[in-house]
Amino acid sequence: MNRISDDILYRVEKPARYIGGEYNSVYKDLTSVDIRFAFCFPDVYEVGMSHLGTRILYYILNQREDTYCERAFAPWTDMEKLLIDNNIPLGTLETKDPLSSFDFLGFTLQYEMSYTNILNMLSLSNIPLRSEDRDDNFPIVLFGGPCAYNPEPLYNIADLFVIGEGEEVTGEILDTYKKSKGREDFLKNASKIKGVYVPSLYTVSYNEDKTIKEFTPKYDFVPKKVVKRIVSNFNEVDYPDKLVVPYTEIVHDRIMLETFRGCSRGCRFCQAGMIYRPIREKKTDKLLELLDKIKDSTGYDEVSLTSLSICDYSDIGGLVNSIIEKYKEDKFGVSLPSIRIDSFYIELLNEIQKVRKTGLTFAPEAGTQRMRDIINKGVTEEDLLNSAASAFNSGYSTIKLYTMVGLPYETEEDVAGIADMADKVVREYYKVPKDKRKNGLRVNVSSSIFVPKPFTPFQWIPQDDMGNVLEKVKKLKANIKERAVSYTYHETKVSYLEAIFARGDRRLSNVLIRAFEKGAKFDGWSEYFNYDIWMESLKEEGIDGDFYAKRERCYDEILPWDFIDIGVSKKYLISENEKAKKAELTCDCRQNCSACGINCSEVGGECFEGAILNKVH
Amino acid sequence: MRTLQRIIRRSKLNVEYSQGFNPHMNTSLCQPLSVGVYSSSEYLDIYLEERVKTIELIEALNKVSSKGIKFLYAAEVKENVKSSMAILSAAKYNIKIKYEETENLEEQLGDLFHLENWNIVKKSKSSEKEVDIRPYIYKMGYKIEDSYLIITVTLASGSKDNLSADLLSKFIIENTKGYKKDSFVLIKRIEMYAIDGDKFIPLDKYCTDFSKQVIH
Repeated sequence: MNRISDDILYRVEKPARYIGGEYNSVYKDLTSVDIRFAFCFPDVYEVGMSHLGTRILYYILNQREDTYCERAFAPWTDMEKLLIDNNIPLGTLETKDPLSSFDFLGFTLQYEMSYTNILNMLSLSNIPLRSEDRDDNFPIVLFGGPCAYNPEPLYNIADLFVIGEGEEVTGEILDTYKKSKGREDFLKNASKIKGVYVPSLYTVSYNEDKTIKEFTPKYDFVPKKVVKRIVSNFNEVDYPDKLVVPYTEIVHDRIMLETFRGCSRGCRFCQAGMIYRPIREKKTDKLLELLDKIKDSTGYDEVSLTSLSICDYSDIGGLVNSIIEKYKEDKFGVSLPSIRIDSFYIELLNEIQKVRKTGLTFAPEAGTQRMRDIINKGVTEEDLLNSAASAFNSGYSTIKLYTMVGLPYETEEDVAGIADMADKVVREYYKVPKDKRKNGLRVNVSSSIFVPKPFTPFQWIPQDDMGNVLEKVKKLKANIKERAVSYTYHETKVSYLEAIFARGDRRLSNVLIRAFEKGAKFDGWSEYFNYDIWMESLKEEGIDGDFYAKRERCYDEILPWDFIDIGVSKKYLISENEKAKKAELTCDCRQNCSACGINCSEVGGECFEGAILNKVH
Repeated sequence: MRTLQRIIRRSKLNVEYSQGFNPHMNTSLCQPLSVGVYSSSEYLDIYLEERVKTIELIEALNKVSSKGIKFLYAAEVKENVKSSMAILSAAKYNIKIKYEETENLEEQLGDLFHLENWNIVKKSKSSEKEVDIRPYIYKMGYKIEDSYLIITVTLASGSKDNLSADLLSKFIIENTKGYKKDSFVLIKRIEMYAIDGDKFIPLDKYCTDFSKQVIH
């Protein structure tokens, strides 16, 4: 069996990506376990190791005595070439055993453009790409993660999907595996587990206009709807007390402490805000307990408090202050990955940042109040300018503004409004007395094109045409008056492909495989994304990309992901889209329940479980 | 360095930090190793807030150490002494180079040793220049065993004069025939020295014999 040797390691970039052996990585006696599981992240080590979900599931699966979970990442192109030339199959970091020798391969679907890397990892281990071509000699291939909420473009690659949170259901899948006899039996049994989707047990038929006609289970025992899974008690759910400490620098090289799941803001473009409901929080004392253990077991000197909208954590002030107080002698830092546009949080940030970083980032997403109301962002111009003023008063001299263009119901004025918004931020700076403000003002604005996602109120909307968007952006640039403003539009054809796959159906699977066979990989990396390969693949499969990206759907169309129940009702999404057309706001559900449906669905769970206040602060 | 700092944090030793807005741990390596080089003899300077018994210090570190890093020995340094980085003068390496065939190797090496200058192009980020590396080789011996050329060599190391084992290996490979292309050159650092007069003293001995000087 060929393995990666020193001869190969010294010739690649960042050999630390492939060595394993990190502090807190798990080593088990192979003869004592029943199940070998490989958790595969379809990107390079530095990206994959920053993913919190990987770290959580690695820990939870290894807590099982009958299971040994190892990690695998996509090799960079230089290593890939050496693996192929030297006949070395892709293996895991811990034992270096080839992926084909495992019982389970679990891939996480983080973004659509990572799919070709999944195919590549399978291919590098000599595993057939299509589920139907694999028999009992091959591992069971399992997919999960946010993109699993529209699993259809991958329907014949995975053997099964986990829809929702993996902490509990993965264990149930392994238990079922142990009791089953062979693949067929296992997949049939697994389909009965709440949150599991087995694509081979459903058939799809199409209308003449290529929309879906019917989506039906093949057997009576297969559920018509797959209900997403959430953990039963978020405060008590298993969470690692130790994390693998990488030798090399990774993208997010600090402790990540997950404070709550779900989001109450209801921004209409945001899929995460819909699919992670209901909102459930961990209590402050629980978080401090977890943090203490992880800090001791890793030696990290910084913690990042994570969640979708961290400043909404009901005890954010208390939590931050407790951490600072507890570890004030330890030179231990706290950071927040995002900041709400509200001056209260700038004050909080001042407390935790010992070194004044020069930049602060806000995401107003849109340039006019009308547009912000359409997307339900809930930020007024006053909020933004007050926050900017607070930031400049605190010594920040660079502000970054994230926006999107190509949003639904957008007009030219809305896009041009981004320029006005930026100019106003600049003027706030000059209101601060000269001796107080920091030199070197920069207001950096960036825009990316909106991609409609499943399970959002905008899932019926066509993606805006790139040419159209360019025109609007031109006018925006011409509208900028202040010199301190710098604007970038991230024009990329990748967004078009994203828009296709995000709302794609089963027919895209062959396009994906064909593109991979033509050499597509690392599509999320601009130096490797090859638009032509994708266009050719679409053409050769007779698929029109615009059908998925640019077509307006009507409300009674059967969407490829309709068979999944996320708790939030379709009725709610429709009503939100209708409100968007009138630029009507829906308030934060901490203030007032807007009846999204989550608390009377089969998902279960309780809104705001664990939170100390049911109020917006 | 990051890995070592995390080990120190896990050990809960009362290590000193610098002052100011962005405090960092007061530790420094005598001389970092290049990628791919391993060692049985590295030196680290740590500054502590309170005195600990050296045995306890070693135990605390080894208890939480990463795979592949073992702490062997610690000694306390007196005040106002220079860092190990400052007194480093030489280092000893074992170098193992794989050859396709070693028939003429002995002869070729003999010829090399007769040369007065050992010139090689040294590449840096901004420039390339030809240097004579011979003066930086203090002591060198070799043997040829099973298709490997095994060299034991003491080279100038430190802030004043420094020759990397990697550059020496390149020189040998470029000036002999038969190296197995693309094979990994195994380099192991086996000791680091300070200089006293004309003698090389291993840094840990230097520490116990000369209490006025540095050592970690």
